[in-house]
Amino acid sequence: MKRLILIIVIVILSIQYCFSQIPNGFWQEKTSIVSDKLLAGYTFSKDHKFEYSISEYDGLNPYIAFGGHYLIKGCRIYYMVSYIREKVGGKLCRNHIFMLNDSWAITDSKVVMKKLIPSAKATELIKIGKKYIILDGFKYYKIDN
Amino acid sequence: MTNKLFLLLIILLSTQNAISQTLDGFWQEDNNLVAAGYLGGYTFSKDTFKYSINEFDGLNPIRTIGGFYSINNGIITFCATYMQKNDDCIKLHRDELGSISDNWVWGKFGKLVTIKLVTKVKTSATFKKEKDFIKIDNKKYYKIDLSHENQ
Repeated sequence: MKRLILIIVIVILSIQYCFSQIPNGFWQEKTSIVSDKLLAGYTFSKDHKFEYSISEYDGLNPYIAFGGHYLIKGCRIYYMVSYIREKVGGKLCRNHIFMLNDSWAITDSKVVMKKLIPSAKATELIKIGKKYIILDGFKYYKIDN
Repeated sequence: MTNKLFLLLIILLSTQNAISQTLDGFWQEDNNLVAAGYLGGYTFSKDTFKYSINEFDGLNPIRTIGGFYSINNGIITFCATYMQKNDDCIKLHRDELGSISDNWVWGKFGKLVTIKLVTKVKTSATFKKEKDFIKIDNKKYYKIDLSHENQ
């Protein structure tokens, strides 16, 4: 009986540990299909790092990504955002490769990384499945490189 | 013959003017439904236009692009002269109103400032006016009645 309880406790702890690091790679919102450009999504990498990138179809938003570290506890993921990637310079135009914002976009800009001071903290529900993860009820699909 | 040509010219000019006048107002992309906020869309007024981004996008500090427009032979020509931008995005956090970017939004946006474009941006698109919507480069925009906002 004691042995059974011990096995159950080890299994439960193992499951918790397994889910504490999300499989590395890019997880795209809504669909696993990739056409010309990537939709918004999260890139998770070793040492519990993450980066959220906006849809590549949005050419107007100068803030193209932000990231930092994450932690999973139970069914929640906790983010600590420590930097943003921002487009600086460039020129306004309409370009049909960008489908959002009626193709209004800023092109020919430079991307710089800026520290976010103070860092931002946020949390949401997470569920890790075989082919996708669910964040606050929305699916994100693993995209192979 | 000269009279006929003159009459034709007047009719053509009047038609152009009529289309411009009926465009006045806000035209929302994709549908005519209004929830907690507006989707992206164009506001036309006389010969000026303003493109406003989707209000559910809480991550983009650029909120509008505007300037002048004209319509000729099924082509709308935009001449963008300014952008409006929140001058300071601080306090990144999560909010259901920012549903476009997994609820990530900037909290305190700061002041909305108008930035004159150093070089005006001229660009054109195909234009068609139908009964219930307009089409700009084959994308539909529906007229939204904003009169309730003043009540």
